[in-house]
Amino acid sequence: MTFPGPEPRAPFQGRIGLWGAPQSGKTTFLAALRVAVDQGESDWWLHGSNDASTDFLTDMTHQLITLRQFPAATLNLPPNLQWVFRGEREVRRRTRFGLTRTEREVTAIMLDLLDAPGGMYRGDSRRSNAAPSGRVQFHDDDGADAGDGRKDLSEEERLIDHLVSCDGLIYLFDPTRERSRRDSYDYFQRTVMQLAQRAAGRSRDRFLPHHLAVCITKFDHPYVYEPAHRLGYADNTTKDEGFPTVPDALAAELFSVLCASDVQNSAVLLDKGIRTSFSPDRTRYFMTSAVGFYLDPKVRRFQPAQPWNVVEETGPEGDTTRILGGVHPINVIEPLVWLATATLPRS
Amino acid sequence: MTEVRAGWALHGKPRDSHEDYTIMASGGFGFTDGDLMLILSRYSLGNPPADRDSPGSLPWVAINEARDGEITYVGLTVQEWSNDPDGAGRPIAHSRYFAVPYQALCAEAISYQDLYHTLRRAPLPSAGAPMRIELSATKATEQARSIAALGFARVATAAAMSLEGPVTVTRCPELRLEERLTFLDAVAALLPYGWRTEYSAGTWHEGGSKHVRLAFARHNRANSFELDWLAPAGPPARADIAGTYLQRLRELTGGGSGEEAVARVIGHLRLMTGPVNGPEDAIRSLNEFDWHLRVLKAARQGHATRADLRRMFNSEEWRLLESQEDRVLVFGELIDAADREDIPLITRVWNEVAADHRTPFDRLVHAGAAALCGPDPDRDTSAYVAAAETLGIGDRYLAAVLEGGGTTVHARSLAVAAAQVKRRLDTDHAETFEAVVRDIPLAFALITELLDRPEDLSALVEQLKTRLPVPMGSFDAVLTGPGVRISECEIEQLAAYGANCLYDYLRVAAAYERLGLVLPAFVGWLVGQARIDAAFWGSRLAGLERAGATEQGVIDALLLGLRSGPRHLRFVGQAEQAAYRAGFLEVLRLSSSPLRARVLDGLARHLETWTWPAEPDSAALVLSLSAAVGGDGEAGGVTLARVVAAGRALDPRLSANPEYAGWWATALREDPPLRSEAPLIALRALRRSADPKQVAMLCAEGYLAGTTAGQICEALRVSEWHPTGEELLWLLRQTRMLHPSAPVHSERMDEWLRDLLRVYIADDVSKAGPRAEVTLLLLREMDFHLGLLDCVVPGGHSLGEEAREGLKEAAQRIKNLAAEGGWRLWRR
Repeated sequence: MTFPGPEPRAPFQGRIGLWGAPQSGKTTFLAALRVAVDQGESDWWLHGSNDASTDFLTDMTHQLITLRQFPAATLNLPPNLQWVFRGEREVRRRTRFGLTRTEREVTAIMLDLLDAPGGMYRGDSRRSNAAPSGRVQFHDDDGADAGDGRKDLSEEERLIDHLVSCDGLIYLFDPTRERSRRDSYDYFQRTVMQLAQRAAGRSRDRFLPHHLAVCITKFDHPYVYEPAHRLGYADNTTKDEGFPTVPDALAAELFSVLCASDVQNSAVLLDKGIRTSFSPDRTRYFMTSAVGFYLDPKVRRFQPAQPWNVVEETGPEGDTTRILGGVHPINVIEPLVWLATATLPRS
Repeated sequence: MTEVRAGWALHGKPRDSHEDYTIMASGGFGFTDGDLMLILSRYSLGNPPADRDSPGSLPWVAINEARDGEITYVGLTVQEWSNDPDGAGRPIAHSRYFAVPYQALCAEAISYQDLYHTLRRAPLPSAGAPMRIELSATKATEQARSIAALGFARVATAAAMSLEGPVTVTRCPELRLEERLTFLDAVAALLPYGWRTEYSAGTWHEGGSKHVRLAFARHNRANSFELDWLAPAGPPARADIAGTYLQRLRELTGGGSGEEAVARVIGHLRLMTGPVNGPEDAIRSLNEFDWHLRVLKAARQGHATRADLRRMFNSEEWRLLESQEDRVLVFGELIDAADREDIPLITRVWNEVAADHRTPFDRLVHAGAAALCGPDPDRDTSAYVAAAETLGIGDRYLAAVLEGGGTTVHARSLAVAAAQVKRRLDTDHAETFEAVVRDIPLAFALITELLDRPEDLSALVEQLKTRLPVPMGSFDAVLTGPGVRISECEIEQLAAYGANCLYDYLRVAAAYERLGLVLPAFVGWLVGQARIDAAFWGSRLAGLERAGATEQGVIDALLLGLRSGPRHLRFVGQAEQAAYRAGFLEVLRLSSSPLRARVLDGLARHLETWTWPAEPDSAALVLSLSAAVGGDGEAGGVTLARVVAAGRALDPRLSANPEYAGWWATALREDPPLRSEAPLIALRALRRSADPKQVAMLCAEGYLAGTTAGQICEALRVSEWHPTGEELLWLLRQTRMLHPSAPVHSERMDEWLRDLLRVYIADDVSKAGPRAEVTLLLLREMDFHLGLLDCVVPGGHSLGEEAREGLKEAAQRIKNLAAEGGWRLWRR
């Protein structure tokens, strides 16, 4: 695909951080991006800017679509993913005669993403029960780097450095995990404190300077879909296949409702924490599902009796979960588009 | 087979867990779970893809290192899928981490592949317990074969580039895990073995750690050299170290064409087990290929350096020498060049190299025998003998060393050798005892070593009686006593086995306080010798302990005759003086005339070195001894008499000693001019610190003996005593006072004293010398006397004529003196 007109200026460097508890679907969210771009009606598209980032997109797409597998758990902090998000947007420009005119402009944003293991957001030191004793050493502990000339940061330092420098954050909230583990607030509050410590001074108001896209994940899971449907937030009429959607304007309210159902108060704290830490003007909520709702292949329609697009099975590789049907990401590209456009210079 | 204790850890998470990955169990080392997570994270190969059949699919194997204080671990991490899902239904990957101490791998040069195959099969023990595995040595030829199969160019290039930075192997999707691991192992084989303390590698890298030095991956990693598997090119031009290393590898292996040559290079590199200090060090290691052959050549020519020989065996490079003969040859050179510090090294290598060969043993014996004569014989010899005992050849070795290893044991080392034997008397050292029996001086030295163990000494003597041709019965007299005096004939027989034997016999006699039984015959024997080793006996006799007064006199006389100083003379108490003198005189009695002259001469020279007159007991002994030996016109008698006379310079009261008169009479008989010359002899011998009063006494004696003032002045000038003006004036007055007629005025005496002063200061022209000082002192005294006159001359009364004339004469003399002095001053 090519765009008409002159090549855009050098890509705007936008950093977007991904944040969420273990198993909240961070890697799957990223894995579904390419599918979302290709299936969606957005003016944006996505490609890698280096081999590793391109490999990630293609491999994950293959895994979701062809193999119908979810990504494995993230074990280690990988190198930053660098993607170029290209699209068109409307900008207002002043003419030579002093008039303002709205134009569509080709824009490219370099997305710098880091897919960290969820445990790191809770500050589990090395994600283990015990901190390093200081006893273990390595041959180049005398400060030498591994050849790239950069200071050898710990994984935690690297992650926080990245989040602090981000323009926007995608926070993934998994209501199914919260239902059983009730620990989302743990993974939220420590990171917020670290961000505040290092980035609050950058803000012009009392909130953190970041834009925040709160994604309530696993919308297709019965634990999430059911209350949304029962309480009237879900609308089955907006998509041809009858896929339920929640208007963005109601997503924040639904998020609060889902959080309020937590008898242990952890999710309530999370809800309040988001509202007190991030500016409402810079926060949006999205009901998200990386693989989307199950589409009955016979009738090509969503069936309310089978919303969940996941099946548990036992095979030669042991017990696993697989994607049951086709992948139809919901609100995967939208948070990224919103963050990209919101953080871009206005003209 | 080498049994190795390995540490281990299992990384993963329990089935259905909602938590992150963690250490599930571990054992075998002191690392905490946090430490283990740090290691795994630092050398992580990344996040494995979920699919099971792509090139990057699990299992993965990572090679790494970690250190715990002084211990460096070589680690292997095997990462595989388990059949369990986590709480989100995702497959769980388990990592088994194994860590083996690097030192345990060095000796057998165990490869990563062998380590992997052993560890992979081994079940994990219960938590906390270490793994115990058995590892076999890896053959260099097998690794060479693998390198040939993989392609020498690929392997060598990867090895060379990994010295300079991370290397990524790309475009090899068809390679299985085993083949990748073989490649990683092959690359390590072409690097110094010590590089493994820094080496890290992975069979796949999927966004993992930048600390992984060598890895397979789909694309080249950032800041990494790329090795394209399908089209391997050499290192880029900027990687000059890698280029140099690769070039050397090609040269040494003929471009890698021959497996044998490659195996030899691997064999060389696996000996380089020490730390590799940077890539340049690796090049140096490679440049030292065939170093062992250069050392062998030098050893054959007899000029291999000790440093090279040490390194050869410390670094295990001797194993590269193909024939056992070559190994023995080089080892022999090490033994020859070794010092005490090298003995542990020799001991360590002995059984492998030298145990079945005669030459190293002979050279070790030679080294031990040489140590006996070295700068630190006791410690050096002990070290060699202890090493031989460690090797189980102590008795044979010590016997051979005692027999000199083909050389003669130096006499001064007999005691050291005997001490070695003594330490082993209680053990079964049959060969050593036989060696002692064959060496009579050594046997005698051993006897003296046992002086502090009388029972062992008696037993040894009893044993030796039946074995030695020496009349060991002589020992009975001194050991068991009260015995009969030893005859000169017996001494003669003992002396036939060497002076050391005879001396050892004297030591035994002295130790048993029976020297008196032996010395008469010994003196008779010694004075009868045509040639005497004066240096030997001089030092040995002085060392004899526990001698009685008579024996002390004997010993001192002998020592003087041997041109050594007497050892006991100074310390003889009044009660022992007669016995001492008797012993001394007995030696003189038995001595020939020249020997007697040497004794007297030696005594005279000894008295000059010592302030004996100041010690009444010593003075008495010297005077009585001098009186006893003098008077016979013996050569040396005059010298002795004059030295004794000079003793008054130290203390003129010597003449008051009760023995003085006897000596003086003998001395005058020996040397009649001494009567007049004695004061001058004493004055010449004055020390710097002499008391002016004592000098005055000697001057007065000289005056009375008719000595001229000029002779006195000359004697004073020769002496060390140089008086100030005040002392000179004091000397004159004191001499005048000591005159027998004092205080009666003696005009002749006064004239003699004025002459003395005149002559003494005749040549003194300095402004601050005695002349000027005496002048000023006299003027002050004159002023004093004039003052006295002021008191006695009555004011307003007329003086008597005689007094007036006296004053006028005095005034005129003063006037003349002043004028003459001025004229002299002017003339000067």
